[in-house]
Amino acid sequence: MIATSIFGGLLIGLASVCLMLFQGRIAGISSIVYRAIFQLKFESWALTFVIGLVLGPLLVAALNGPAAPVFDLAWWQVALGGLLVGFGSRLGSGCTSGHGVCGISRGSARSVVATLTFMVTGVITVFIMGMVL
Amino acid sequence: MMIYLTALATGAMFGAGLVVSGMTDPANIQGFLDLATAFGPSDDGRHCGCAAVFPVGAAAVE
Repeated sequence: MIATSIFGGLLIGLASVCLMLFQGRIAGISSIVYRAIFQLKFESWALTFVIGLVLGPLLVAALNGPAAPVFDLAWWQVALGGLLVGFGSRLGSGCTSGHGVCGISRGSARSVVATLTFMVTGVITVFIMGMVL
Repeated sequence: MMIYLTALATGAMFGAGLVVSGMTDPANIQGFLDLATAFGPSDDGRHCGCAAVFPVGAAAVE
């Protein structure tokens, strides 16, 4: 439903604003996950954020029934995709949340370039996959 | 202590937003990026598009 999509988008935007307000941090999920794993000593709140990130969808599932994503792929294809996402987002200093949501909103030229790059690459990838599969 | 509470709450809010907007479903993301069917009857792309536009507006408020 389009209304639920908009509501979900509002929640993401609100969460990003709250993180900036209370933590003074950009809601870049890939960077927060990186900090939660590798910089736990200095950025201990990052792990708490990641736990919340898992608890939120579980709460929605408890209220609204499970909505697990459907991966019509072999486990190694999902793992390869995850590896590429992790590698690319570290290389590009962020993912869709940090660059696409927060970066562009704050007028960061680097984020505009990053977002355009991964959107165009995504469109090309989906196009090629559609021809191959 | 406060910093952990807000981190937990914002994390939960962000995660819930992703699920509610359908962005955890790979089919929605592929539909959004699929220009070949973007002008067809598929609603997935538009839904995802709306969800992508609103965070920008909300974050701009800060």
